Amino acid sequence: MTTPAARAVGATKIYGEGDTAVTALDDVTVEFAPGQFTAIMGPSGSGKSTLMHCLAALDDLTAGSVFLGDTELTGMGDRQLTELRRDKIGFIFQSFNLIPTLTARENITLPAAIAGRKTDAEWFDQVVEILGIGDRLSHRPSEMSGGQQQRVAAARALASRPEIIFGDEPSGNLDSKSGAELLGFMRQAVDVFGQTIIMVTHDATSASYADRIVFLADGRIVDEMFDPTAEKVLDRIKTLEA
Amino acid sequence: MVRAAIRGIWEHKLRTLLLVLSIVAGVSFVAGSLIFTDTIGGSFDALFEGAFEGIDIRINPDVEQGFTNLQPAFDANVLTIVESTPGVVDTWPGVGGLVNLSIDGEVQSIQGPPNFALSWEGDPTLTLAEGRGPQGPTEVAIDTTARERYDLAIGDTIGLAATGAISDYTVVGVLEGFGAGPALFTFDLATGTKVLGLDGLYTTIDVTVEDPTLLQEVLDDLTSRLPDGVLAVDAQAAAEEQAAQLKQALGFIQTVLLVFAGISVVVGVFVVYNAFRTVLGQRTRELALFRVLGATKQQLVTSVIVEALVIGLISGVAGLIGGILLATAARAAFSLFGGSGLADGGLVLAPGTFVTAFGVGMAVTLVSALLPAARASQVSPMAALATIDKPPRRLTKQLVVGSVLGVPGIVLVALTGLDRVNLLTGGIGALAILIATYVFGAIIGRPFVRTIARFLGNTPVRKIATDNAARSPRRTGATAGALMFGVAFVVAVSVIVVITQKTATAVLEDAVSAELTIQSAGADPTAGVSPEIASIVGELDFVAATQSSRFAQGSINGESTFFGSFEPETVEQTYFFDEVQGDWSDLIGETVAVQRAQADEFGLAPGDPVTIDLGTGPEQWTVAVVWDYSSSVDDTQGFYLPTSTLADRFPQGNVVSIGVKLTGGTDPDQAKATIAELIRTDYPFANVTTQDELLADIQGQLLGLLAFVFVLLAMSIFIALLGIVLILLLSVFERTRELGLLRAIGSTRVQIRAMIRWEAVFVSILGALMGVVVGTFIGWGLSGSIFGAGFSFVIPWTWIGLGLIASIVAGVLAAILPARRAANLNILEAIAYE
Ligand SMILES: Nc1ncnc2c1ncn2[C@@H]1O[C@H](COP(=O)(O)OP(=O)(O)O)[C@@H](O)[C@H]1O
Ligand SMILES: [Mg+2]
Repeated sequence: MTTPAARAVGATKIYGEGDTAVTALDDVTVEFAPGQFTAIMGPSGSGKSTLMHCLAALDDLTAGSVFLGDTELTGMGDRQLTELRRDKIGFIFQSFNLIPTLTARENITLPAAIAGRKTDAEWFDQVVEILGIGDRLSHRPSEMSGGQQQRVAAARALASRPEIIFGDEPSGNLDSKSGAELLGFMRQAVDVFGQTIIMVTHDATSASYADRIVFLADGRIVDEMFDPTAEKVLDRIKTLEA
Repeated sequence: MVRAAIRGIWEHKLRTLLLVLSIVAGVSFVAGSLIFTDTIGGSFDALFEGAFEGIDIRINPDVEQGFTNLQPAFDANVLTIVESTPGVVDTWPGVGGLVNLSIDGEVQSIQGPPNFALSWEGDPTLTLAEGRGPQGPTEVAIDTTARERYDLAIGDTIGLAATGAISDYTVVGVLEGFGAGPALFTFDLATGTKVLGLDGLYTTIDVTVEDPTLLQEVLDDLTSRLPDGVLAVDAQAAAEEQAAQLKQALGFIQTVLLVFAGISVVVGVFVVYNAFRTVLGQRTRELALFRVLGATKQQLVTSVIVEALVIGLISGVAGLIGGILLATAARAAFSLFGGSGLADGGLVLAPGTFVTAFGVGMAVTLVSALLPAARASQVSPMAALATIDKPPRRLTKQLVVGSVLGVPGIVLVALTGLDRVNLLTGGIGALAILIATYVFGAIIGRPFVRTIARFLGNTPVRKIATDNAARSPRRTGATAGALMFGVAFVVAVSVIVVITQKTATAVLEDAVSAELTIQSAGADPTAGVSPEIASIVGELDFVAATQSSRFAQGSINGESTFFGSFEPETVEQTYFFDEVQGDWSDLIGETVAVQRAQADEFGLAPGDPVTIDLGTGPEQWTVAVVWDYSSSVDDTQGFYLPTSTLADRFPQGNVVSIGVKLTGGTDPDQAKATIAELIRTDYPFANVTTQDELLADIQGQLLGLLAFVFVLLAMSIFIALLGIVLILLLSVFERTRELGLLRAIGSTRVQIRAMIRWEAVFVSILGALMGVVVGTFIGWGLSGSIFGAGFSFVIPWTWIGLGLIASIVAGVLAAILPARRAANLNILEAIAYE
């Protein structure tokens, strides 16, 4: 069996102490296969974002461990985690993904520039072409639509050929057409380049782009589903809520 | 809304603290200046309360009185006239002049206020505190100032001499002193006359009259009887006038301090204004939300003003405390440099100081807050829905305002540089330029930062820092502009000081051929040295010539001036001349040698008659020589009299300096050592210096002046740096999201810190460079008025270089706090949305 791209073992996250303590993640063990597009779903407050942040080296666990490939994140210092994010992880956030003073091109190449690496020009062109933002490269974020901005963010995530891309409701702020386009591109990145993607969403249609859905409730994994469609997902949510 | 405002203050403690600090610094400076000068002024009042008590009229020479040896003396004829004037009861003729002190064989008070010898025979102007009055040739009574300053007691033996050999005197009494300034050493009249070398002469006569109501009549009578150059003055009026003169000097000090304090306050206004503007800009959405919720414009303005008032109030209190601390420090420094005695009483906290401190604190915050508040209140409720990112505004207004002020400013300063207009006009021009530059900062900031960045090469960190510095041009311009003020003043003063230094040293370097100079070891060069030293030194076989010069004050053709003096016999050996019209051998008796520049100004040529008044009435003299040094620089004096003539006229006046020309091949240092050894015992107060030492001396003095100005300007530069800290903090706050994003996609803390640091350095270099350019120009301009057109301009590269390095360091320091904030942001909180 191949090594999972990411996995959490007994991941527990508790916010606060004593009476006010909130268990955001409750002993979660989960694996994410490489080259797969996984969606994490669940009601608001179920711990989706927390799980993603812990997997993505943005937050640490109260107990348990997280691996990215073979690398265990638990116990790493800020510097190591930072370099890990820079070199092995790509991010697409819900909004405010881009540095407003930089052009689209500069934003896309920023992780490489920060690392002091050259961007692979051929790969850059390919990514830009797939995302259809070739004519926007010299524009600043304020000169682009929300959909375009998210596509530039996706390009940035892809450009450094990370081992894994995390998305936190990447299409959450977009109209349905732009959202569908963005998710289509993400799907394409998985199919064409074998990219691993983990995406948090609460929207059934968005989740249906994924290969697999992990359902969270009250900080626990309650279910999963492969090859989802929007209807299947909605049905499942209904049963979970019941 | 008031509650919201106060909560805002509390929630942004660090911001509030920095705002308060920027204001407090200026307020402290203002309050400190007032307290300090009030305190000294208070001691002056006490000082002169009892001065001249018990006498009605004082007779003295008609020159500015002071503790120097320049004033002429008068002879016994004057005393006879006074005694024979009807209505005069008692007369106390007296002598006074500078004296040198030696304790246990060591010369005292090389620096600081002078030691002054006086005759005292019990006249009521002085009162005994302890012991008895001096009698006979070996007794001295000192004053309380001397007692404290030199730690003396009755029964001690001290060495005193004006210039000649030291004699020992026993301290027999202590008089109530002035508490500050000169230390007094009093003798009986005969001894005083001997010590000061004033045989048969007096410098003052104190007089009492029969009927004080007829004082004016006696005064008028005396005035008509006394010869030219001797004045009779109302003693009480004289005391008041002396107090007034000191007060005037103090007023000058106060003005200087307040000008520098004012600069800090102005810089504070800029900093606080910029901060308020930025904060309110950032709060646009919040304010708009208030508007959506139904707050009126008035309420918005009120909330901002309440915040400003609270900050102003805190600043007023803290500024007052800071002022007391500053005044205490200043007083300590003051007494260190000889003002002891003035430092004894409590600090004077005039009600005006309170009012001023609070007023300035309030005014600064209100002035700085009103405009931004008014603008913020114009926020439409719609702005709540708008995105934060606004396109940069056009800077047309800046261009217009900057040009309207800048162009006339440049013209005025340029005219000053050519000595076409006076210093005041130049100052106004300079002010206009400073404000214009401040305004222009917004325009040149962006291209400037980009240029530096290009010059340094673009790493991604620096690229982002560059973009950040360039993204709010007004904010960056204003932040840099605050620093520009301080730097511009520093540079302008450096330019003037460096030119002064060059002027002062050029004469020595290019025009003086004598290798050694013998001068008084005391702080006041007019104390001089004994003329006999010249003949002793002249005997030495390695001495080719000596040149004794004296000093006098008076007027020529009605214009008051200082006179130097030449000994015509050796003048060509001891100076380098470019031009000599007339014959040096004619410089004898009532003649004068005039420097080329002054000759041109007064239209004088050899043989021309001139009217000279040495304080003893106008006389007709003749121009003997018109000459010019081999120096590009004008001497500040231009009129030289024969040394022998001055010696005849002012027997008590010493030789101010003796130039010594050595024979070829003599080592100056060796010659100096030999001469010093030779005159050490008999003339302990004479100091032999080589030209190099003199040059170093002058440079040292000017460095001291420069350091003093730097200290005064340090406050405004400190405030400007606080401004950088403030604005960077606000920017970090504003860019929380971006910073979180940068961290999320892999920027290290080190990189984030570097980013903020570069931004700070860009801003500080911008401010420093603007300051350097503007300051150099203003320095050049003002020099034109100070030194006259065609002065030789020097750019103080060393100072400019040091200043730029200091600015970079300052930028790095200013960035520490904001950089730490930025680097330690919690990434998740930073990128969290809603
Ligand atoms: N920084 C935090 N401090 C305290 N509680 C938190 C924090 N972040 C999240 N939580 C809590 O943890 C739980 C899971 O939150 P989150 O992972 O954001 O859920 P989701 O993304 O599924 O909406 C929630 O109850 C939330 O209130
Ligand atoms: Mg969430």
